Amino acid sequence: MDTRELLELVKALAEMPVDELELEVEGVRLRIKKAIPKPVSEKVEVPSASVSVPSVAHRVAQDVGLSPTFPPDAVVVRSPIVGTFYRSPSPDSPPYVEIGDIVEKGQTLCIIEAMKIMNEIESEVKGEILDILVENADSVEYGQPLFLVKPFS
Amino acid sequence: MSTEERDTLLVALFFERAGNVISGEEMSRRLGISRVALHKRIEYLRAQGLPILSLPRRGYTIKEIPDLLIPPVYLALSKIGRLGRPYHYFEWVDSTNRVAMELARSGAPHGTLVVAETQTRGRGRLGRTWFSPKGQNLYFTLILRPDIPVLEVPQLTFLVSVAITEVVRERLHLDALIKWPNDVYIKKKKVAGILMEMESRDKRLLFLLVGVGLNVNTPLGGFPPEISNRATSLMAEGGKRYLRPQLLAWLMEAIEKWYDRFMGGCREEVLRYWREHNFTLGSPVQFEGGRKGWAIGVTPQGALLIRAVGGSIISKEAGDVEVVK
Repeated sequence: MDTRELLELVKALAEMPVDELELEVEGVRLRIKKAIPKPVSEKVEVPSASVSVPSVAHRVAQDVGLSPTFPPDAVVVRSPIVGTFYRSPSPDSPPYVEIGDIVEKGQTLCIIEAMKIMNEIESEVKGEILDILVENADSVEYGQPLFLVKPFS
Repeated sequence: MSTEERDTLLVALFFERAGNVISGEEMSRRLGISRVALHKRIEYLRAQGLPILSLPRRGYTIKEIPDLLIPPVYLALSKIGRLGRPYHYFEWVDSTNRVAMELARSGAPHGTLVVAETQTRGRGRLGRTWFSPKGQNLYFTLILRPDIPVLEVPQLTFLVSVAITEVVRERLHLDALIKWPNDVYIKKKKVAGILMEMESRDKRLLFLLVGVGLNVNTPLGGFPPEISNRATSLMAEGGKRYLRPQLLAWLMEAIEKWYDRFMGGCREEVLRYWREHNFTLGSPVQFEGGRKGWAIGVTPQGALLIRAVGGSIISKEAGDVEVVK
């Protein structure tokens, strides 16, 4: 089965009152499940069939505007403004934090710049940096998740 | 009356009658203090750097208002408003923003002003430095504490550039214009830069630091070679020296006036003045390291709208935008 046939199959499935299809052709087993359109967010275009790769799940989810799922015990540090994300105070200096670093409450994690206003984002908790969800110099949206911090209890 | 208030009155009296002799008897009477107490205050002000002359049996005089930023001079020239007091003066600091950050974090009130004669590490965007030679220019940071949502803070960036531009145009009659978002230029050369920093909690602003560097009396040939073709000063453009404490007092007055308008709900006025006195809109621009387009507008939030070559419209909240000459 080639890509064209596969795409036709997906298209056909989308028009049929069938939610799930499983088939085996020439030793290749394929299972397609229809995504049920949900009113997640007004901007979202729900794809008729979606592929998900666990390791980049939150990034993909971010791109399409779905709310990503994070470890339940992690604190999500979000951007308070629309702006540009900087991991260090200047291009030549080392980043404020790396994944795996232990940060204190009130420690600076990054800078968000909007219209020449520098907004130092601080950690609200003492904990470990589990993940950094944005690349240096990327544009970030209001409320966009930036860091995952695992708090120390 | 506090000692500071009395000193301010005394210096204001000297400035009012600069070049004339005022008798010790008159001064004592106007301030309501003894001749001995007056003599002590004058000794103190002299030690601070005020050039007060004593003329035996005639009184005291100051020839002209000195170009000093020490507290008695600034306070005597500034109107009693909210901005610019408390006034913190330093002969040198690493950066006025850094000092103001420390003060703000320990609770310094709205209107606190930090002024330095020189900065050893004057800051620009992204670790760039601001040229801060001693005694020539203005380097200051103002602490503001408006109770507004963080989302509205970027609009204040326009406000400060509008206030500076208005002072340079109306008081000094120099042709200042704004480059998006808030640099002030004269004849396409930068004369003032603004760097703001903020802290917030739960989507509300805790405080905003307004850091300003204004090139006042740096001579035309006085800039380092790497910026000499794109930096200028008021003196280089106006052909004379300007009195820094007077200029600072005017700036505080103007920022306060625009701030009151802004907080009073007249936000369009700030945007209108910005639009009428900027040179970015309508110009070809270069952004994101080489992309080209035209600056076609600003949003009420202050983002720059660029029509990129190819037709797409981009809204920019941050980053470098160069006006192509």
